[in-house]
This record gives sequence, structure tokens and C-alpha cells, in this order.
Amino acid sequence: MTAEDVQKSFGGLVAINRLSFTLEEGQIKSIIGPNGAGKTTLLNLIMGVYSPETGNIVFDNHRIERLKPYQIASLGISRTFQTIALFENMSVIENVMVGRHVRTRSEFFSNSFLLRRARIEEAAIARIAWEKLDLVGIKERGLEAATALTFAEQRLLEIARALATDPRLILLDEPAAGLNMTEIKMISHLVRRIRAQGVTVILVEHQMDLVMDISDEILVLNYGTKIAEGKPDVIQNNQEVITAYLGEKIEIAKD
Amino acid sequence: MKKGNLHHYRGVLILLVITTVFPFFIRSHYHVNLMVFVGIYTLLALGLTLLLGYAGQVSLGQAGFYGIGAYVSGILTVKFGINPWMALPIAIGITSILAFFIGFSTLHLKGLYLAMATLGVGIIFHILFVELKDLTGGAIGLMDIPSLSIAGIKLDTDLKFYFLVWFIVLLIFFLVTNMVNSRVGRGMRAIQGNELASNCFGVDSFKYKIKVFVLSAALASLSGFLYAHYINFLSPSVFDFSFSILFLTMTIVGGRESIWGALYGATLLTLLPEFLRRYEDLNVMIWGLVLVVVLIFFNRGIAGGLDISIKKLESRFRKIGEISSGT
Repeated sequence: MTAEDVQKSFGGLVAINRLSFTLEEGQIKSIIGPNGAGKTTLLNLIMGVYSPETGNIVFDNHRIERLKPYQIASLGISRTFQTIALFENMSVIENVMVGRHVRTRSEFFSNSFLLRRARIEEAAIARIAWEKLDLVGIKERGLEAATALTFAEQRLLEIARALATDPRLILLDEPAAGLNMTEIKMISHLVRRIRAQGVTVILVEHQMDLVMDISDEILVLNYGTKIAEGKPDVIQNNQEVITAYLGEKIEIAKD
Repeated sequence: MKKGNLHHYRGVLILLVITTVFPFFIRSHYHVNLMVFVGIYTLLALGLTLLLGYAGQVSLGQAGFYGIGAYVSGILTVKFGINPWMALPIAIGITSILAFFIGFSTLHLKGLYLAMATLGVGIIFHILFVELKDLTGGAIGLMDIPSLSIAGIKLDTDLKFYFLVWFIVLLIFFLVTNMVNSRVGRGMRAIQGNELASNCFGVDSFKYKIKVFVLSAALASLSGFLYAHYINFLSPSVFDFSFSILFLTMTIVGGRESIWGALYGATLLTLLPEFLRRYEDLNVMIWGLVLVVVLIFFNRGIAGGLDISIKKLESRFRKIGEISSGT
């Protein structure tokens, strides 16, 4: 995937400022930056929730910057949400089953009349959904209401639902936010497993231990502008990044 | 069919038994007539339940689609001498095409704005029923609409019509049960649960809303067809916007998150006014009070209330079972 010269503003505020970057297949690329740096906006641009004012985004030889989310989903991009966005009116397994929507075809008529192809498809949807729930480790809660899950389990369910679309690129928006150390380790392990299955990962995250641990590359945003990009150890020692996060060093006059 | 899915059809089977047994005990014209109306309104409310409770979109124009179904079939049979069974697909077809264009232009609106837009559409249809006098007979009405016949048997009694209506209701419930338990039903509920998220998982929400809107209009049209050939007479007054509100009330009081809510709501709101007739002046007040009480105690409607009570009963039986088996 490549993004070239992408710009998006809300009113007078430039959320993403002439951003370009490249994503290699099979990478885990993290996007970090202070609050309000434009990280979630960038994910929304990739997913098609917003369209950029300028620039283009190319995924797998398709220009996607003008496509709708459901079209982008069918090309193989999926996502989780920072503020958990489960379907609260459904059970856990049904949430994952909705993730199969983009890979299935049967319509009103064939489902109402239980036509053979609809039944076959329905069985496959259930089988794959249970597999994904098993992968993230909450299979035993499948029949409960989505709202009955703990916070950490809801984050896992978000990932399972995204995986159900058979993505080639998954966008994880702060999957570890609000989790404890054990749970973060679990997420870290899970992200590696997802990558091991050949899925490219974009990770937006504030948990620096997690980011430094699993990223192949890191892109740092500040006020919508890229201020650094590179391997974790390079980023850790980048002066501009340290400044963005910790502020300017001020010399205090000694007497 | 897999055994695990059999519980989906529990409701259809119970309804089949009740509607089959009912006429063996109660045969008065008055009661059978009421049950025919319960059936007709159930179909209407079911369309709204799918639209409101599943896809999360409101319509205050259902009486209009109900009227289109009734008038198209009425006019075709009376003025053009077409067989009612030929008129039925034409009526549903015309209603669906109208609903498609109305949905296409209004369904980008949300909540109250959509309610207002569909209310307007319903009012326009009502005006057309009154004013297109050459076709509809205007306020005087359209008379001598033929009764339906099946295999040479004329459905000219309440009881015969009762069986037709409830056969159709059962069939539609069977089909809708399949639909809501499928990819399509989940897609609809996903839109209501979180529209943005549903888009990201491949649900083209606008297209879905239009489809469900057309489906709800088609069901209203089918109800209108049944009404026209049951009463054999149409006047615009039964298609005005107060009926749209009544249908929406049935859906909400019955419980919009379950397709069975449509049945409960249509039953309650059809039978209650009849039952309250004996209280004369007080009846409207009691009617209102019952609605308020139902909604205060069961904010998910009667279906939601029943769902909770059944779960409570089940867990109580389970506990008794555990105690008696000594575990």
C-alpha cells in the first residue's frame, strides 16, 4: 500500500498534512504520535470513512481514496475501532458473523426460501466465525451478548470481527488502550500470529513497550505531519520525536 | 435442515396450532372478523418491525402503501375486470416501485427527519385516494370489489377468509424467520447497532435500507390487498395518517426487536379497543393508559417482556431441577 501526498482538513484544522508513506506486504507498521496528531484520521482515510482533499492511496494496484468503506473492505482492508464499536444488539458470534458479510453473496430471496446455496454459505459463515473467535481466545463466550464481555474481551472481539473479513491489511486502532500488562502481552502475541498468517498490520498505539516490541517500522505523526519514519531503534533516538513527546529541553540558568 | 436450527421455528409452530384450533372454539362472525384484522395488521406491523427494529429506520407512511395495495387491486378488479390473483402481483409491484423511489430519496435522512418525510408521503397518498375520484371513487369510496376465490371456492365468509389470512401470515413468518437468522438479517441489525461499523464490514447500508423499506411497503401492500377483497369496499378514511401511527404503535408496543412483536402488538391494539367498548367514555383513556404501562414496564415491548419472563422461568426450573437431582 502506498499513500502519496494525502491531505485532509476539518474546517480550518489540517488533520493530515501532505503525508506520503509506503507499506510493505507482511509488515507490522506502527503509527504513533501525541493525542490529536491525526492517527485515527489516517486510518479513517485508508478505510474510506473520509476522502482526502488531495493525494492518492493505492492498495494492491487499486486507487482507493474515493471508494466507500464497504468497497474497501471487499479489497481486503479491515479495521478495529479505538472507541469500541461492536454491534451491541447482537451476540458475540453474530458480531463476528457480520464480518463475513463482505465475503458472502446470498440475498433476501435465497435466505428466505432457504435455497441450497444460501444454506451452504450460512454454514460456512458460522464455521469461519467460530474459528476466528477461537483464534482470539474467546470462543467459550460466543453465545453471550456482546455487551456481557469484559473490556479486554470486547477488544479481542473487535479483532476477531475484523479477521472474519479475510483481510490482507488490518488496521488496529489502539487495541491495547485500557488493558493491563497481561492483556497487553496477549494482544502482542495475537498481533504476531495475525502477521504470521500473512496479514499486513497497521497499528496505532500509545503503549510504547508494545510498539517498540512488535513493529517492523514506525511512522511518527505530529499535527498531521510525518516527523519521522524508520525502525524502532532509530525512532527511539530521534531528537524530533523525543521533542514532540516530551517537549523542548529548556536550559535553566544556573547562578 | 439442521436440528440446531429447529428452535427458530418454535414460534411458527405455536402460531400454527393456535390459529388452527381457534375456529373450533370460537365461531361467532364478530370474533372471526376481529381475528382476520389481527392477521392483516400483523403483516403490516411485521414490515415495520423489520424496518424499525432491525434496520433502525422509521416510517410514518405505511398507511399510504397499505392504501396503494388496496386501491390498485380494487381498481384493477372493479374497473378493468382483472382477476384479483392477477391484480395482487401488480399491486405489490407498483407499491414496491413507488417505495423504491421514495426510499431512494428519503432514506439518507435520519430519525425524526425521516419520520417527517415519510409522514408527508403518506399524506400525499391519502390526498390522492380522495382526489382521484374517477379511479378511487373519492370520499364516497370504491364499491363492489370482488371476493377472492381459491380453486373455485369463493372466500365469502369470515371463516374462509380467516384461513387464507392466517395461512399467509404463517408463510410470511416462516420466510421472515429464515431471513432474520441469515446474513441479511444480521446485516440489517448491524446497521441499527452501528452504521459506520457495518459499512466497514461490507454492509452497503443505504442499499440495505432501501431494500428493507421496499420489503415493508410490499408487506403493507399485501395487507391492503387482503383488506380490499375482504371488506369489498374501500374508502380513504382507513388509509389516513392516524393509521400509520397506529401501525407504528403496534410495532413498538409489541416489541420491535423481535419479529413476533408485530403479532403481539397487532393483537393487543386490535382487540383492546373492542374489549374496552363496554367502558364507553373511559375507553380511550384506558387504551392510552395500557400503552403507557406496557412501555414503562417493558421498554422493549411485549416481546421483550416475554423474553425476560421466559428466561426467568427457565432459570427457575433449572434451579429446581438441580436441587431435586441433588447437585
